[in-house]
Amino acid sequence: MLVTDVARGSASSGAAGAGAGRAVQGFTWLLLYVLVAVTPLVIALSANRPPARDFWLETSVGLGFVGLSMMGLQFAVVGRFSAINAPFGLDAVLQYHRSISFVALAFILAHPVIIVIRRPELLELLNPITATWNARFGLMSLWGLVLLIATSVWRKRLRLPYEWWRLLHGVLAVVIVVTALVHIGRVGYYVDGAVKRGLWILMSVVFVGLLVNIRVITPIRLLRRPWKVVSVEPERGGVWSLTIAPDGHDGIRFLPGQFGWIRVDRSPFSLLENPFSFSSSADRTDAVEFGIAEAGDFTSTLGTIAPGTRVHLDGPYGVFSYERNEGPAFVFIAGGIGISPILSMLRTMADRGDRRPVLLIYANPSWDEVAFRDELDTLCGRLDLQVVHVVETDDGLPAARERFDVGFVDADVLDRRLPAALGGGWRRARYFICGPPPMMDAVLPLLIERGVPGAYVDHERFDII
Amino acid sequence: MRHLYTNRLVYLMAVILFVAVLIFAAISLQSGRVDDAPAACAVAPGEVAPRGSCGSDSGASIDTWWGGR
Repeated sequence: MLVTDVARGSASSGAAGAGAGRAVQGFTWLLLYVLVAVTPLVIALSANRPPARDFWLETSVGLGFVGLSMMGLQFAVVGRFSAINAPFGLDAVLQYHRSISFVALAFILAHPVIIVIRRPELLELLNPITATWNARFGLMSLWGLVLLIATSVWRKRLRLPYEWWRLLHGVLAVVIVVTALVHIGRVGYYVDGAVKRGLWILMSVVFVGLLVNIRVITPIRLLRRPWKVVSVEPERGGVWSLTIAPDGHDGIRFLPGQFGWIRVDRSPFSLLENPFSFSSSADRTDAVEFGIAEAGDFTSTLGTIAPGTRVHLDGPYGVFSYERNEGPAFVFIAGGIGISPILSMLRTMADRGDRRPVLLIYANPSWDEVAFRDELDTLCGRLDLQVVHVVETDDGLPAARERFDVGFVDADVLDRRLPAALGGGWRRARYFICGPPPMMDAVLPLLIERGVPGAYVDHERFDII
Repeated sequence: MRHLYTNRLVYLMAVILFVAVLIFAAISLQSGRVDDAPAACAVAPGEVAPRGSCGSDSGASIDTWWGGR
């Protein structure tokens, strides 16, 4: 199973063209993001400029404006727009959403801090009791943002149920943006004149529109395309295979490795939805299957779901797919339920008669907990696939040990298994890693240290909510 | 590696936007000179300007960019 240059062929050149297209698309979105974020500054500098003040006071105002704009843009970032997610992947977009909120907080916090440093007599405006109403609205926005970020960062520590957190998150987001806009309108320093007021109103309408799209338009769209449960089958290791079929429509098309958000037996307006990877072949048209591990309130009830139960599916999302990163060979590294998107890729490759070499390194606590292990054996007969199981304990392992390593996916496993499976071409293979965060954090740098180009490595984190 | 690139992008975005704010502040000083403002508004902080002379605010003083109570 050696990787040859012939095998690299046209698939790679086609993928390179698609990659360049996505890069242009991504750059365009980032440019648009910057332009929208600085729009309040442009509005402020347009006609009817007010008298100049101190440089740092103007800086503080600018930081407040941009911070607000970034908060409004968060509605677009989390809006699950296919065009926005296409070049980056929804998981990376959500990661950006989380990280950029700290930048927005820093900008918005700096706004009053700089003002008070430059004009200490205004310190009383930070006291909600003595502050003017103008300042109170600003304070409401600021403390709302602090509360929003604190409840997001420490949601699990605070034991906030996901559904309640999501409701709070949405309400606080609206409160932050609305009170900040009221603050700006009441202060009135940079919003004089019909043009400026018109532009501010337009920005506000766009922000509200984005929210309406998330909470109203998308659920209505889902309501018109219901799904129903076909079966819920137990697998090894506390994993369930949930199969759903379209009810009165033609279903969806997805890339192998993508995921969808599902609501089982709930309204599409419900805030409780869960992201799960498709595990079925992308070429299957009658139904889609998810591999789901029992890990929370919803997933622990999977066994009680009856066939025929109504499901709403929002998707597909994600870019963790070999179709987005084509190569002459593939190395899939899965941990636990991280096998789900990889199984989808393997099943799709098998359905398409793809004979490119594949190495699957699959880590689990024990041999008894290896989900889909029988099907993987079957897939070895349909694909040029080698499977290496890495288990923490050798309890119950079969006598023939050549397919097994005991321990974790570490440097030793990679150094032995990669050249053995793919020959000298293992650095040219495309790597897909999906598993628990500690496993991915350990494996990623090991691959880079061994000379695998970063662009050849993709990974999917399933802690996106 | 998308996640690594995402973190770098956030840092880059923070720098770009902060520089944009600094440019905004510099332009504000250049183009929004006190001389360009209505004469009645060209008062020192704390001094009283005529009502309605400083932008849309009710205009108790130049400090009213914080607004009235």
